[in-house]
Amino acid sequence: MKILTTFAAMVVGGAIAAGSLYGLISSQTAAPDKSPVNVNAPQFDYGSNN
Amino acid sequence: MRRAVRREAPVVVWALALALLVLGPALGPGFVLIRDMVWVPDLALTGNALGVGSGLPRAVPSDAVVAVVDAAVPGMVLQKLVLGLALAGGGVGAARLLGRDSPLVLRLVAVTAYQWNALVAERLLMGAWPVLVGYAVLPWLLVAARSWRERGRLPLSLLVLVPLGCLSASAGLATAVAVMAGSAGRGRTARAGLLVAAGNAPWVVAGLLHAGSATSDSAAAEVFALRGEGSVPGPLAALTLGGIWNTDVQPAARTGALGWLALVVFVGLAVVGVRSWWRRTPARERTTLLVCWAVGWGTAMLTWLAPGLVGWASEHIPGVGVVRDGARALVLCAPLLVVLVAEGVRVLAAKAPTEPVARGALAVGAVLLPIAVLPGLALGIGHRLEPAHYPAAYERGRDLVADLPGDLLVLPLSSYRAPAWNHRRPVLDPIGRYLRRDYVASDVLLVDGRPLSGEDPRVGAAARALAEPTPAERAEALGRIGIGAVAVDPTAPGDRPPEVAGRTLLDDADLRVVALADVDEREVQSGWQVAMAAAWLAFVAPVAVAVALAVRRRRRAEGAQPFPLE
Repeated sequence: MKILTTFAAMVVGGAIAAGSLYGLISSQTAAPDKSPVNVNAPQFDYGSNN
Repeated sequence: MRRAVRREAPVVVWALALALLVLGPALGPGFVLIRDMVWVPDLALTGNALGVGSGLPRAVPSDAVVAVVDAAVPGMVLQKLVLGLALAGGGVGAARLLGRDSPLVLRLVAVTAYQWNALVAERLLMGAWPVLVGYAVLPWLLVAARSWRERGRLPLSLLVLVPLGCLSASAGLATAVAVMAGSAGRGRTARAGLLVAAGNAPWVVAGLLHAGSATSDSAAAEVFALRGEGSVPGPLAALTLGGIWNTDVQPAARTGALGWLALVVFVGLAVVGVRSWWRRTPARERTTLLVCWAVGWGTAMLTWLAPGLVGWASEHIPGVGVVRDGARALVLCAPLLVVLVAEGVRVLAAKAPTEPVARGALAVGAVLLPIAVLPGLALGIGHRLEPAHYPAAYERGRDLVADLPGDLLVLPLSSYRAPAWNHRRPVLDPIGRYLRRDYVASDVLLVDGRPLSGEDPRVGAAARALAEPTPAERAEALGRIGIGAVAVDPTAPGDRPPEVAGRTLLDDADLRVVALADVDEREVQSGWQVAMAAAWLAFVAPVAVAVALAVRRRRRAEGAQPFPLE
């Protein structure tokens, strides 16, 4: 039982750490986020509700 | 001393590392210009900055503080210092909320939870840096208030923290709630009230002077209300500090499965920790954090439940518009949230296996959890905070208008720009601030193409002047309302602004400047000058008192020490 809980704790902690690292890398290697601005619009929006 | 440094060092290092990771490319050379975040090389202490301009003072006192400090520190460096220290300072403050004797892992959990969340991402992308400074100051205010209650002596730090936490109207209100919730009682209430009044004096007095235009478009309340993030409804998103009105700045991770995961994880940890926190925390401290949370979440919920009521109030009662951006009030929820999350980790850790390797793995997981559910916050929120360099024409324009009489009119009459030199990121037109003059510029906001009316009456007057049939008549009409020069951004979209007669000082691809011949300079009423002078005096007085008392205490301490050779 003790071995199981130890193993489970390592899996949980390791998964979060690995997930963080994977998320950081994948979010930075993804295509760069485009500006929400439509350059053809006569004026620029402050933001959007949609 | 050494022990204290050893105890604090990991927290400070982790907080700084997270701040560096969040800002990433934003720390490179250039200015980060995004939405309301407009920093220039050398901001002037103009009438607008001091609260005696013609428009509703939206950047009081932040612009005046920056204008004073950037006389000593260049604007570019100052911006990076402010952003970096605000992020790291907030994290260290959150760790202090737990108490210095709390286990290191719990303090690191508090740092990550406070620095790495939806609120930080969304406010950075909105350019709301005074809100982030107020957010950073908040836990320190609560710690100082706790010290005041426990020791019975007003901490000098509070005299500095309160003005620092009041750099904008909404930050000032949050600071007021935190200080009053933490300090009220046993003879402290009046002094805390005075301190809060002094810290908020500049924007309150400036707002009262502009009371005639301090009401806002009722439609704005619905637009700026707390909003859901993807499939996560607004009230639930608010539990993890998200739910901003602007979907353009909601992190992608918050709108999908990770948004729900963040909700389950953080609310789950808070629920696990609440019983232990209730048992371990003195009643007065509990009340403080609960009052802050209730005011923050309640305000956000009010904008979600009753935007019509908020809209009616902001249209009829001057100043109420400050609360229309509901998610901004959630800064007040952060202290209780991080304390409960850390307490949840404490409870779970007590049930965890005792093997060091297992505990170590769980500790790493707990500290990194906020990053795992919001990874896109790293490196300038996925490179959306990128520094830019102003066109050389701006510097020439600044020198050319330096000695002109009257105010500057910035054209075209639209609020936001997205110039190519700023990576097409939307930003409030920086020309007025860059050229170091009091200026008139459009304050109409467009949301999904829908205009929300502004408050400066001179914008309407300028638009009427520009509608005159000839360039000479336009120049004459503008001169009558105190405009001495017109600056045009030729790169802005839309129709070319109408020509105005005058002397062309600069005709560049990035900036045109025309000086007008006859100007009736706008005079500020002496009553306004006296009122604002008193407000600014009140604002700086606590800091001056803190410095004087600190010097006196130091001298006394030195005087009490024995002579070194004895």
